[in-house]
Amino acid sequence: MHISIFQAILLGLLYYLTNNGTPWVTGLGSVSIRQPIVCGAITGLILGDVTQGVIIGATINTLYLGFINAGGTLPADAGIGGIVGTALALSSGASAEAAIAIAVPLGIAGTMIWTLRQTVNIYFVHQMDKYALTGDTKKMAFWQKWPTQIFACLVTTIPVAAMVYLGSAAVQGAIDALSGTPLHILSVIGSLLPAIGIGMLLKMLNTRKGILLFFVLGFFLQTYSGLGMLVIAIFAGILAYVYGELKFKDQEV
Amino acid sequence: MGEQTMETQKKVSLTKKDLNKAYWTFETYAQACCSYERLQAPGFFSGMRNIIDKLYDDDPEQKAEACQRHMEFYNSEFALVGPVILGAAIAMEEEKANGADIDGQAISAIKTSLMGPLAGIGDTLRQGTLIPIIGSIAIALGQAGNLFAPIFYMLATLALNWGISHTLFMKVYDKGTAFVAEFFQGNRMEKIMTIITTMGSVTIGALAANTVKLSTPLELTLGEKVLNIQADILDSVILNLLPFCAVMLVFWLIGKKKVSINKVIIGIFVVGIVGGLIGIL
Repeated sequence: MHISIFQAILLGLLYYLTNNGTPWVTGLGSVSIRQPIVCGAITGLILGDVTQGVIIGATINTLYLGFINAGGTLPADAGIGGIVGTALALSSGASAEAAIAIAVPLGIAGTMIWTLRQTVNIYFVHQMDKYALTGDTKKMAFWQKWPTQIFACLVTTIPVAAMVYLGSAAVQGAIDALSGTPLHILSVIGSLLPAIGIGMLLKMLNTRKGILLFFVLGFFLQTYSGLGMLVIAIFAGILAYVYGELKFKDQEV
Repeated sequence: MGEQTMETQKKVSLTKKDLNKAYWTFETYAQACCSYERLQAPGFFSGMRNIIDKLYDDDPEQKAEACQRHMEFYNSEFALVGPVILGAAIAMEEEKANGADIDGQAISAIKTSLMGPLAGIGDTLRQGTLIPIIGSIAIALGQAGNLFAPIFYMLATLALNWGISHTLFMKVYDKGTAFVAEFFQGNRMEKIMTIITTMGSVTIGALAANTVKLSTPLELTLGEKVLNIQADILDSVILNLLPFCAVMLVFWLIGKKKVSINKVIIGIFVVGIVGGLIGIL
């Protein structure tokens, strides 16, 4: 599948919409549209194969489900991984698992754009400070919205448009060269990488004694029961409630 | 503050429309101008903007002070429980504008004391339970090629986030400062965090079992008998043993040894390449 310049620019703009903190109608400052299952589907729509876009996006999403964004740091950018990973996999015919391995380095590269934005935005904050001294809320709101977003739009759209436009041929060649063992290796890596997101979530949760035990419980409960996530979550909620009540039984709450 | 009667007639009172405008502006622009220096401060200001405009319309000095007050460093979770802080700040500003003896510093102090604990609750609840649950359901649908999956993901996450945070925001505005006292009462915070981290851990355990895959094709030949290590040995001990060990190893590296995420990613690539080449993975 060939990606035209027009499609490449649309994909670049889509990446802008998924970038952290982008306002407009992107849902919770882009938190929702950024998930590869959503932006991968839109990528598929732009490239003319929604169904494959959803399938590849969903597979890439397994990697990012646990990649948390806490305290203003972004460990990996799911948006760029979702969009460019899906686009390159679609255009080169690579498998959904191989798309994960394409998405990983991109996700890391994406965090550099966020670092750049967080640094440049300091200038815009100082402009807002200047107008705060006189209580000029209109000028403050202007500096918060427009310059930040124009800058963000440029530094997100251009690299992604270039990547998908120039990258599809390169990935095509690489995938053709990789058959047999290399492709198997890519799928091994792709199935192991979600462990990183899980590790990060666990680090965030592991703030109290005994929490790891509940993780082990959830892991093997799922392994042996094969229950759906919603059911597991309901059990987890009841268990957590009872545990909390028991633990704080004698204390004033 | 909501319905509570004041000794004197209120000078200005906020309407539901003002509150909704503040909430939605905050939800939209919370991180639009995020920076290393002040993080979400401009976002918090954007939520306060129409409130400041209305409350301090006739008092330029107070208005400028309020503008500066809400440009102070701010960083919290903004999607699920964070708007609670906005509700509390608006309630206090309204009292202040109506002549209550509230120091601007007190409003800043409330913001700073709430932003950490609420970020803890919000991040854990949203990223530790809500997103993994909805995400897992959507991913399962999506991998089967169901076009409804992304729509379901968007609708479910947004409806839950906005539904919960808007309700909390309005509630806290009505309660005003009383809420803050209640929030830090006794061990309540600790109990809430214990319950949600416990729930999150079970859920994340299940998520790990679903997403992390690792097995070995190794075989042992003992005389005429061929032993498949995965099927005949590991699986008969306990299912999913290798993925479990992999997750624990990664957690140990990230959580205890403070190895950077990028190094762990590189490590996984090396393990995959070496293991794949020599045929143990």
